[in-house]
Amino acid sequence: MLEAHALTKRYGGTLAVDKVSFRVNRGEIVGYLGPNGSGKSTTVNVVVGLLEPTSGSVTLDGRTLSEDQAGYQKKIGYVPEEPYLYTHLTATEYLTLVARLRRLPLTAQERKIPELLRLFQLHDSRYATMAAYSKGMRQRVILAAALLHNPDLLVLDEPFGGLDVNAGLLFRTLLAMLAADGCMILFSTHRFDMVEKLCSRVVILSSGRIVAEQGIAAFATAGTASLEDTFVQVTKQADFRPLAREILDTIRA
Amino acid sequence: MTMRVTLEDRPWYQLTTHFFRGLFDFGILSDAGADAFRRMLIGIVAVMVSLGLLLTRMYLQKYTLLSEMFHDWGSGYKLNREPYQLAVLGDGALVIAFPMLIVGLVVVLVSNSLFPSVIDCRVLLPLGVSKRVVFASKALAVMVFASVFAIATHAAMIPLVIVMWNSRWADRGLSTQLAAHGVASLSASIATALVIIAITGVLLICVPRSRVQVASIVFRGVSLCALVLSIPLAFRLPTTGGLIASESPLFYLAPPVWFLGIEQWLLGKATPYFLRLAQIAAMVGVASLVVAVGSYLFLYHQLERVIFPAASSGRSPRQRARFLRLASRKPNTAAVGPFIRATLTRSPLHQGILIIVAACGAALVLNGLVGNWHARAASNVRTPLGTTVIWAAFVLVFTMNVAVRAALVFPVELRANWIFRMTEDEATRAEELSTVVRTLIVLGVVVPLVILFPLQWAVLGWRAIQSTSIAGLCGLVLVELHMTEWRRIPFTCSYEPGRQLMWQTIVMGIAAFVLFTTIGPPLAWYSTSHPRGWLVMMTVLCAVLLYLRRQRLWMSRRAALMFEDVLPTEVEPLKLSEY
Repeated sequence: MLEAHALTKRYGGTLAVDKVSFRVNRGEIVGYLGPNGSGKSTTVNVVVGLLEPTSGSVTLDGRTLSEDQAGYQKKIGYVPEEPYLYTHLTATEYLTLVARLRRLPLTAQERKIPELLRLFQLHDSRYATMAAYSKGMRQRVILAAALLHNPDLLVLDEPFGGLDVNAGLLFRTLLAMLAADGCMILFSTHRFDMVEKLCSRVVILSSGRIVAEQGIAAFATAGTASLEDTFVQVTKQADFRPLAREILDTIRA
Repeated sequence: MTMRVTLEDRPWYQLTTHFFRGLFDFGILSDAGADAFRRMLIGIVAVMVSLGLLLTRMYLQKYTLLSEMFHDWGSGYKLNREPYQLAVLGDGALVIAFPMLIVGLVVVLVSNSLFPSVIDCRVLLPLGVSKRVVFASKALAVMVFASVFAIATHAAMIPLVIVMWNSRWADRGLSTQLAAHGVASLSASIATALVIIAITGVLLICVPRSRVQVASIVFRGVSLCALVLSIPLAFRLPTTGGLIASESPLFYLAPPVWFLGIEQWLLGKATPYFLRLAQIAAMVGVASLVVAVGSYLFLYHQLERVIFPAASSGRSPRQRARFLRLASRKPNTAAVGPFIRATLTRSPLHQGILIIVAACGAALVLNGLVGNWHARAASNVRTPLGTTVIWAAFVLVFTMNVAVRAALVFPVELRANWIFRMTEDEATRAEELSTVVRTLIVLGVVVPLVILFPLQWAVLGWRAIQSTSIAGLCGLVLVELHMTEWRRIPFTCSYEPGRQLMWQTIVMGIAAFVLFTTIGPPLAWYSTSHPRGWLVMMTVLCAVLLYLRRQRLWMSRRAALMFEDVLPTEVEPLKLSEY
């Protein structure tokens, strides 16, 4: 189980995340929602160990991030918000680099890398440097790299940017199957449709604080407010109609 | 104001500005780093201005002396004009060569951006920017870029030129001389830029698409090397006035002297020799202009060459299988090594740094060997060539070390370093850092010594083994000293230039170079004739090496890897608890 306890992160005088606590159980996909600048990516970066929290702790199966960072990070697969890759490498080379950094045995590397490239439809471009790849192709490389070492926890920060409809559907199915296999998934996104179809629970963040945490089933049974309505309500988003009208008027002027 | 607003509104102006700025952007610096980089550039300019003033002062003394030289003409001592005329020919060639070198270096450095790229076309054409505007703006940006450097270097040379021409022996008035020199020298710089653009264009057009990347990397490497190697030759030009005056055919191979021919022709000295030199200059200039413009036009009409270049072929399945089989039992080590190799063989920036610094060393060695040959030829005395050859090994080892280390410092795709940050492990850190040390040993010590060994063997015979072993151990000690505080996986840490003042960096670098190339060569030379001394030196150097290695390994297990370079604060914590 992943457990974040009272996570706080400050950048100088700015409070980005304020005492955030949540947990992700085995076999569970937790949607992590929030408007831009609410602290989602900061939380994700703290959870994967790329940022040190100002206070609070993160534990994975009882192992604390601060006590055993290497052991903790070995269990994590991470898909960043943007497909930041070494574009002077080929997809094969990049996956080999990741596999070696993840200390995968040689036989596993030889077996998994070509197979993943084929399954992720990157086989034809496997000897081309990734500088020539589209965003969607790079995103697929990142997803393959995140799954290469069969992680216990998958942390996804907007993973579907740049993917076409088919690839999106494939990954949605894949994530559901991974969760059914016992993988924990923290899914940070803006896409309500994905969250509603994939996640069992939703954590909504606003201005660095958790403003709602609820099972997806609760939205369906409540009968009144959809996830989107709840989101707009709890994050105190304005009514967008006047703003949209203003933009339209400006365009037409 | 109105004019400016009108200009800024035009797509070609905006695009030219964008392309022009892009030529200065290596994409490796953070905001703080960019500020520091600007400070460093200002420091470099300040150092160059100081050196320029020093050179002007030296030339002032030289030309004052030349204007007062007397000669015994038989009927008594009279003023002698000839030394001035010879000096002005040699120095004239130098002041043409220097801007050519600067312009050549900067244009070669940006040679992968001289024509519109895939990204330019893919982004701009769908936005409705016409193909013509994209190509014209790119060409204009490249021209402005080359002109900025040409004008800046010529401006810097003006005091020197005035000192040269403002003499009682000058044939023409100062303004006429300056105008002739300006035309000849600016033509030389422009022709240099055009030649590079033309060759790049020909490569883009003629080389099969799958090999264009490799061809341009080779071209850039060879050109940088040639330009840096020609620096010592350029600085020998002031001594060649006599040879030029005697119409030596050797200068048909020296581009700056071609343009000196134009200058002399403009000044009315149309001797057949200068006319021939001027003709060569004109032919090269016109031919490169035609080829450069032709390349632009050809690529403009064959846009798919720019838009859809074949992707790099990468590794073939057989190579890939070998790549995997070569993996050692330590996966992290096997990850870092190929990553370093791939980056050094594919990144233009890192190759540029490596080649420029290494070529400086090669230029020094070449200069030393040519100087030795000159001395032997002139004095007919056997100057010990062995000492020069041994010194050359130390110079190459030092400069290659600096070159490789500098190349490893600069980041590539900085934001992609998260994968290294996420997989950092105390247990494997020392192994990873040792891979970096091994890279430095191979490229910074083994390669230069292997290159020089045949020459050493030819000069010293079997004693070359002794001198090379001493040079090798000194090189290894240098590597250990260089890497004591190294905490980075190459290319993954941000780079903040300007940690030290520019003059401080230069002085420290020169001091280290002088120390290494002053102490090492006599020891190696001594060891070639004293076997016992050789054994003692080997033992001492091995002991020092082992001690430094232990220190490095001990420290690398304790301190975490660096992924963010930070400028030193006013008060630096000692962090004693870490050790």
